[in-house]
Amino acid sequence: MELKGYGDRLAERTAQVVGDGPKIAAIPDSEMSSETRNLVDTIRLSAGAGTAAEVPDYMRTMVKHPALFRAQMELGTVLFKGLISPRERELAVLRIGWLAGAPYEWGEHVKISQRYGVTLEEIARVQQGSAAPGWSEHDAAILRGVEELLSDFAMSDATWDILARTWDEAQMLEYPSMVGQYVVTAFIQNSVRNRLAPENPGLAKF
Amino acid sequence: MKVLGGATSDVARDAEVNGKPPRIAPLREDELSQEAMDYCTRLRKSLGIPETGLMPDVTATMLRHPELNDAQTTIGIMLAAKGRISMRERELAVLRGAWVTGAPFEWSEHVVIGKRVGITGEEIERVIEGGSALGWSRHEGALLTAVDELLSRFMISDETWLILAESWDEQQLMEFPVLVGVYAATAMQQNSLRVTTDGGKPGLTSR
Repeated sequence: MELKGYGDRLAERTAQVVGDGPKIAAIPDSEMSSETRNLVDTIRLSAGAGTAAEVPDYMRTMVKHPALFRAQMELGTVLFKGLISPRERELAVLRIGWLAGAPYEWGEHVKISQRYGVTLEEIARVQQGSAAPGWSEHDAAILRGVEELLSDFAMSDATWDILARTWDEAQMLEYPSMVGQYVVTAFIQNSVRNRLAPENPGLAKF
Repeated sequence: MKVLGGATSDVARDAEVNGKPPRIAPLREDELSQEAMDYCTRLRKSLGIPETGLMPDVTATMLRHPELNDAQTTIGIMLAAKGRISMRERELAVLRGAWVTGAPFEWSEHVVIGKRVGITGEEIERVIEGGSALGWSRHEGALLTAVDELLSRFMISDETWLILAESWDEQQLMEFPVLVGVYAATAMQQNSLRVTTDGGKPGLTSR
């Protein structure tokens, strides 16, 4: 089933998601407890990011629900250290962020994905999707799996079979769950309207 | 609003998902460690699922990736046992999500769990109709509508958010999209694996 995405109405989607500002305010950076800051730093390290001075808006909002924040971040850490390679994961996450019209997630992963070898040309190609020329069969299947999971909530035999040529069973188990968890992130960031970091390009065509 | 993952009926979707065998086989009993068995007991207790002595196929499959299984069930347990959203509200949301995503295993499990927390057969039929069906409270109607909005448009609309915010505080408002998303992720995974219900129970035709 076709998932339109928001590529032809970026301004409208951006206004809808980012528009009037956050629905839930982030805790000011100076009010973060040291325990929370340590948890955040651990997650950022496992994501390959430095322990930067300021904690992102999204995290400073989620910490208002400590049990939820911890459980979600622990799951995120497992996926970051997961069996699917970072580059493959970032291709999937970019496609999710773009199809879900999720400016925070898309924009953050434009930055993160380049850390793992995704090129700007590939980022642009992710916006076009699995059918764009230039992808390997495996990479196209990673993207198509996202398209299928976000529209049908299941993977086709064809896509599954291609991925299973390269990935083992544990990786095949990880993939739909990984896609789902980044959909969770889009759900919360879009609904709460977390403020984008200044260098986040948001939903821009590459 | 597209439901059942786009299939035309519950019967059709059951066939789509479970008409072919599981894509990954469950670990056999002799392949399961004691640690794995103990872990499942803890999970079952926290969700109020009675002891049957048998490990479900879905669990024995997920144990092929123990770290992921652990993290996934940790968040599930957190939402069930330490969540700020009530059990009834949670089950209404999960049921609607399972219906929209056309998830036979998740739907059948949560018909049972839902009834255990007091959701009636009539309400289950009304979940199938959705948030605009007559009979829901204003809050519950918005809750169900929010599930649809998330699954089709990846966010809760302003109108629906405002209604939910009449009853819910910030923690509950943050918890809800995570709840819907985590169960949608589970549906994606279980549908893709073609996980079967235990003992040949009905899938999406469960009521």
